[in-house]
Amino acid sequence: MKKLLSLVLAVALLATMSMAALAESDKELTVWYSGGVNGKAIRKAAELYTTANPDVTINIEEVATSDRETRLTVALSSGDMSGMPDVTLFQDYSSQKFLQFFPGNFVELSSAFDFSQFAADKVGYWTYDGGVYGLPFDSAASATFARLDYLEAAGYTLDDLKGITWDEFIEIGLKVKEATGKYMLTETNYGNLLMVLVKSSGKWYFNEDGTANMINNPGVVAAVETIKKLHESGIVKENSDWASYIASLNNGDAVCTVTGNWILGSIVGAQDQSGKWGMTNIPSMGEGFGHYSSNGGSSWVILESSQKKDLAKDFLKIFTDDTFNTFVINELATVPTYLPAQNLDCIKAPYAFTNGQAVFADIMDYTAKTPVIEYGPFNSEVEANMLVAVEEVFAGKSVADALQTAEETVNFLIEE
Amino acid sequence: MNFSGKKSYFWRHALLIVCSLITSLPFVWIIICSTNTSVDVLRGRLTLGSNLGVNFQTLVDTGRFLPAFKNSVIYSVTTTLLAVCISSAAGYGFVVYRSKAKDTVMAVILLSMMIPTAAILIPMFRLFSRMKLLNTIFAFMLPSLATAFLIFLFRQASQSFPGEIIQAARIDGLGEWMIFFRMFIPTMKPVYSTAIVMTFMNTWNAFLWPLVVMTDSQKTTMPVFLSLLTDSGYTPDYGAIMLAVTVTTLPTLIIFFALQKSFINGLTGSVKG
Repeated sequence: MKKLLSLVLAVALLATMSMAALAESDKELTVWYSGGVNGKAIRKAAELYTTANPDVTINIEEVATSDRETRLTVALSSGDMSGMPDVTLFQDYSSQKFLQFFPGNFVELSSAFDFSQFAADKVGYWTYDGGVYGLPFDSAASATFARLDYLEAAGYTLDDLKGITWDEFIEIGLKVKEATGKYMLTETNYGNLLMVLVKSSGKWYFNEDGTANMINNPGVVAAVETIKKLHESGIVKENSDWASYIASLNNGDAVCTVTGNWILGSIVGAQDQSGKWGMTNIPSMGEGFGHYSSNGGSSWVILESSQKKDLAKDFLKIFTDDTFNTFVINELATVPTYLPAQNLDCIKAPYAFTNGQAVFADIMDYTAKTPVIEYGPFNSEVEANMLVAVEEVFAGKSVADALQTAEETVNFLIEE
Repeated sequence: MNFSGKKSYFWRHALLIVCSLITSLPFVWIIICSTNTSVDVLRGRLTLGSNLGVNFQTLVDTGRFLPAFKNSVIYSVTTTLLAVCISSAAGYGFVVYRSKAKDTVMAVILLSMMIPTAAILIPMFRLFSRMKLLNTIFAFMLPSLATAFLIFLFRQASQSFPGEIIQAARIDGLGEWMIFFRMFIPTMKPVYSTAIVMTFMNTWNAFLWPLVVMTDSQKTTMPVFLSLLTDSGYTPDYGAIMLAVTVTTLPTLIIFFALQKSFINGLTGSVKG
């Protein structure tokens, strides 16, 4: 009985081994992505590319953002890249961590693409040691999205929100709340807004030597102070999670949201609100701070372990294709970071959902004005500790003390 | 307060009913949500909707739902059956057979419980990759076939198994395997139920290891599929997610209720023994 059992097991093992050993053809690419818009975009890209190159097969597989990073971390750490794709989508905030900790594992792309034609802000995420390692796709430029009908009920127009400061925003918010009973702003835990505000200062959380710089960083101090003022003003609907944040927009509980323009995809989900929305630039934190920023977003990366790097590069060129970018704008309400796309007709066309305002052209304009900053590899550490600092400030701690603690903790984590 | 008589009977039951309602509310809510559209879920609708069919279609259309469910069932059932057979034989052997090294071996096995999966993830991935076992059921199954917890559970249970029965069976000419199959297994049903419920739950809900070794999208399991659904960009479809959660919860619930009686006996029995 024992002999029979071991024989059966051995045969089964051999069978699976030989199946796994079957290699895929050299005209086949595997691509990992996640997210509705990214999925529709990469499928369209694959469709256009395989129509032009019928001998190529592109396998598109959806893998959640954190799961992609887990798998890649394990594979890169073990030095064994089996099962990994040729091309993968990557979160921009994780870019420097992977580029610095696993150098030599990503394909340098500036030989294949002219990166001066892409939004400098997004290219910045993927620039490391003189090379560019990621192909940016959608713009993450931040904007103020506002309900025109609520503003009107309180005697304001969209122009009253354009180019203002956060103090003026709060002032208008109080009056709008009095007139309509609606919150002026909807937020989750201020995590997104924090990034938007700090970036609008034109400087990120780090010194040139890579250490954290918070307490002596005017942008960070102003951001926390602005959030404190917003929190205390009572004009912000503070949602416990992402789902209720989206719900507050779809339910019409709030007048504005200030975040990356990708939020438009969720706003248009409530089609009954068509024509009631408008968009303008974000309020500034005061003298010396700007009205432009960005948050969120992803880029496409080719892994060095791929056997088909040239094919992968050629495939990614579809992101500079006019037909592709027209589809992205018209069908996905998404703005590409490829700058020549601003000459496309569809980008200047009036958009019904935003009451005829040509928002895509405006987003292109914001994208070009977004400050370019240097990101370090420790963005998730910074984000976690900044959220703690914000909570401490809400609980009564002084901004200086809270930032002092955050800076020390982050520097400790960096040294580790 | 007087706790005897009919009145207290009523109050005790009233309290228990309220408690069970509170406990079951999340499950009921998940089921309600799985029949609604995403926007209705977000708006907090608490009544049954008519979107169940659409949500199901959404899941099927991903092309990953049915394979993931099938994989989860095949992987978990196979792993559970093999793990329970192997570990129970090991636990039995630890008690019934004599060896000097027995206690040392058991101590080493127990020590392995203290190493977290994350710590051995990278070497294990290398090992399985070199053996060309990635994306096969063996990658899913092998690390959980002999677990310290199960061996320990069966060792403890075997200690209450009377040695006289084994002696008597040997005298009557029953072979060692037959003693195990015909005498031990039937008397240890509650322990087997406990082991089956625990192992099935662990393998069904396993996430990190299957995520790393099952990279082929047609080979993934339900928890990995769920993780994918919740991360579908900035506009997740909550109706479909809740339906997937319902479907993912059902098998463990069914196994638990089917074996509930002996499961509780198994737990209390091990204390008594």
